Amino acid sequence: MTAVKTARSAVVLAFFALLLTGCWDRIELNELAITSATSVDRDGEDWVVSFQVVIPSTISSGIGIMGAGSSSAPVIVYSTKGKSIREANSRSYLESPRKLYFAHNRIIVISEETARRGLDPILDVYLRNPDARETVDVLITRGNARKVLEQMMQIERIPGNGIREINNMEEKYLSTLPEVKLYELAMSLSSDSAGALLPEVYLSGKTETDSLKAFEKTTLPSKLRLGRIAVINKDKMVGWLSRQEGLGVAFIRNTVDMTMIAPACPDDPSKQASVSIGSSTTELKPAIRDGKLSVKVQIKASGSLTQIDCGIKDLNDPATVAALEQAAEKEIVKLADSGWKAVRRLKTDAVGFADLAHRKYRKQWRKWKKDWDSVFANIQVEIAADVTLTNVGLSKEPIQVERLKEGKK
Amino acid sequence: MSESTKSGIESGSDAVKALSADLDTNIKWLTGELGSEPDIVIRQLQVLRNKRAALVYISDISDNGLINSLVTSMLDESLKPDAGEFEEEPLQGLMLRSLSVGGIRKLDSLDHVLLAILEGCSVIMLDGFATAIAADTGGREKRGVEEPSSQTVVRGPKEGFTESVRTNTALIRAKIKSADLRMEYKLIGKRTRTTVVVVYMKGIADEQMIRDVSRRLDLIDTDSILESGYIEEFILGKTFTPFPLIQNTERPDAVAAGLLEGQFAIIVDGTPFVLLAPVTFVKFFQSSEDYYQRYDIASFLRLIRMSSFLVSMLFPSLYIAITTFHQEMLPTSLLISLAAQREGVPFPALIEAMIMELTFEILREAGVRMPRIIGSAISIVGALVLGQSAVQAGLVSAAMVIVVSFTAIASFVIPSVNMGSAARLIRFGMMFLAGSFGLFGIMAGLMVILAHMSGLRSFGVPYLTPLSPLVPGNLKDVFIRVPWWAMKKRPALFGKATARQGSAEPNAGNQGKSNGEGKGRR
Repeated sequence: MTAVKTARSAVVLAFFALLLTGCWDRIELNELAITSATSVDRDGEDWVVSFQVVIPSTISSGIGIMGAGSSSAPVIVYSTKGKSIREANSRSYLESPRKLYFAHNRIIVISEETARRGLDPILDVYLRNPDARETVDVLITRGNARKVLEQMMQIERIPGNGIREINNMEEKYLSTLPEVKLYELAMSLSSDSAGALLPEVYLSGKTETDSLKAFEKTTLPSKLRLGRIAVINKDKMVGWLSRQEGLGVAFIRNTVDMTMIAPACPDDPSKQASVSIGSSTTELKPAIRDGKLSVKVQIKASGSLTQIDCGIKDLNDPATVAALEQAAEKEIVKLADSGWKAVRRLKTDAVGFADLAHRKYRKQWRKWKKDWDSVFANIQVEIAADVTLTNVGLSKEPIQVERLKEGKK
Repeated sequence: MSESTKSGIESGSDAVKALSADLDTNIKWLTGELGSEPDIVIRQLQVLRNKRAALVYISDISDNGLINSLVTSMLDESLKPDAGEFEEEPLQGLMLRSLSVGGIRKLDSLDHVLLAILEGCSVIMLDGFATAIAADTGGREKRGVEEPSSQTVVRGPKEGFTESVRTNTALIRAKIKSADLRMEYKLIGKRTRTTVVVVYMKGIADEQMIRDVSRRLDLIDTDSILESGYIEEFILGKTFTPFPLIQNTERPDAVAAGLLEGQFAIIVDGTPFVLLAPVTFVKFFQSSEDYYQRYDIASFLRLIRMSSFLVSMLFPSLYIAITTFHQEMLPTSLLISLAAQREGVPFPALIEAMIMELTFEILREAGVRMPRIIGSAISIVGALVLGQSAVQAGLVSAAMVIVVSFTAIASFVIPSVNMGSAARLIRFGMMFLAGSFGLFGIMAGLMVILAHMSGLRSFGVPYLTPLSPLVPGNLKDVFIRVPWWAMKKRPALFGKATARQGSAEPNAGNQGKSNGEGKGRR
């Protein structure tokens, strides 16, 4: 009998223990301020952190949802200021009716000024706290980062999400700007090369699209766009790469998935063909020549011809295709070379040669490590490309109406 | 059939009151015991020329046709020319020559006479003899064999057990025509004297287990057994668990299959629900249809059933845990959509889920209890008023209605109602754990349940076999069902004789053939 009694009281006690927890870190969905994007600005020595908070009821429609519907803005942006990022964050309680929730934060936009002054505090905040995810996309913007957050976006209702999608798509189909997640940024900055690339997002157009009124027209007064590529060296931003240079660097870094290049015609340099690169792999072969490091960049790509405006007669002729391939190879080498020159100009090893050197030449690395920047500046780079055109499309010669007419006569 | 009543009588009353040789005394005693109700018939007649006899029966539970022919045969006896030959042994004469009834036996005591009458026998007493003859003239109104209402199949036999124990044993005998099919009859219940039959396959079922069951049945000391549920609770004794440890079925084919796997069945007179034991957890997810359909679809459906069990047990609690503790686990668009639905909902997710779950349970109970005619009303009220209106009024979120309805539907997928109700009970506990501790609570709850299940035994068979303890050979019929030709062995849980196909099988007429072709039969 006593055993039963003990068991019974144990159950009762266990039940009370359930009540005592106060439900731990339980939080209801409608107590959360779901942050879709954050931005970091500097104001003197202070940090200004802005949040783009989703207003769920305007995003989702359906029966029983109390809300203003789609006539009100889908997000709201507010900024807080503090001596540190987290202090600024905590001040959000002064104005936010809900708890800021960062797990679904899609992008973090960093102003150029902030980036030039150093990214360490941002990395620390993200890596230290479990509530913020390291998989957030990092982007740089020229002016005030808050401005980017304030913009609405076409098609996508949540701008933060939209920017991430643009970044994602762009990396997949164009490969010019990388999509850099925060942990990837931290990893490349802490690697031997200590260099990283970040995409730029900017506002193109004169006025701002921060009101739903703009969506009554088919043309928006301004749009969020991806621009250049920011180069980060040891947690500080050092300069920009153009998109051309960016693509070149991507070829060297072997991050090209799919892209489009427009080589000049073999017969007429003023006209272009378009080659859609379907896959590309780059092999980097370091070697030591005269005590100096040199790197052989071998790019192997395959693609298909998607447009041609040249005076070529017959695309079924292997010689013609070979000529086109050569033109494409030349174009890729040109791009890669411009990319390489740009990173050398910025004295930033954004192409990851340091890791390569460390891996291949461990002994010499000890020496090089001390003054990598000068070693890097003196690296001899040889770029070669090998393009295979797998497909020239459905017509065997370029469509030129005049010539087609002649053929009929 | 006579076996039934005989064994019943022997295990019956102890205080034996001997029959008197005087017919009038006996009749007087009987009328005293039974009262002079109109359905009690005491027919006096003269047999074998000059012997006074009495035929006593209860007309309502007797077959009048049988009684008529019985009376005729007794009266005709005196007309036979050699009727005098049995002058010295009139009782013997009656029994051997004249009674036109199948089952006959001798009775020595008044109590036995009384019981025989109450069971529907006609008792013949001769003046001058302290022995009576009971003739089996029992017959009462019974329901025909119909399609089982609680366990329906698309393909498979459509016959179901009825309330009559005779019909039920006949249905099983019709399935298994083997001399090894054994039926042990018992009478349980001091007042109801319900016939309870233990059915098993000799040589397949574990003898020790059958003896044990028999003993447990004999220990039952109650005045009434009205349904097999009584037996189930009595023989399980003090086992506290939400999980069913005995299966019940309305399907003779399910019982036959169980018997052939070494289970035993308990048929209780007066209910179409036959008990099957010992049983393991996975048995509750097997439908008899699994074995009639193609094995691929049967395996798929079985996996669906098992996942439905998990859904029915865990889905609301997972919803609560994820939306109130682990929002980061949701895809962003789903989170925003859920957050939008929760906008303006006044209750926390736990309370919301509790309200909806309880509402559903009430609706379900109402659906079961309510007269069929007004059944459609409940679906209108349930689906429209409580579902849609509650969402529109902003009392609950639409997602919660989806969660609850999906859970409800999933709980109906489990073939066994018993197991379904186990999931129902556990669901509520899980919801509390989820509401207090999130996924951690769910995990902790599942651990406790798993530990509990590992400790359960059904008649000595661990509840989680063949998963724990792992019996690799039995896994052929757990998550998937392999084709019949691959199930060469019986599941080695309940008995020893395991060969199901091939030469090891006794009394199989077509052994060689089926062995060679490797085709399943049964």
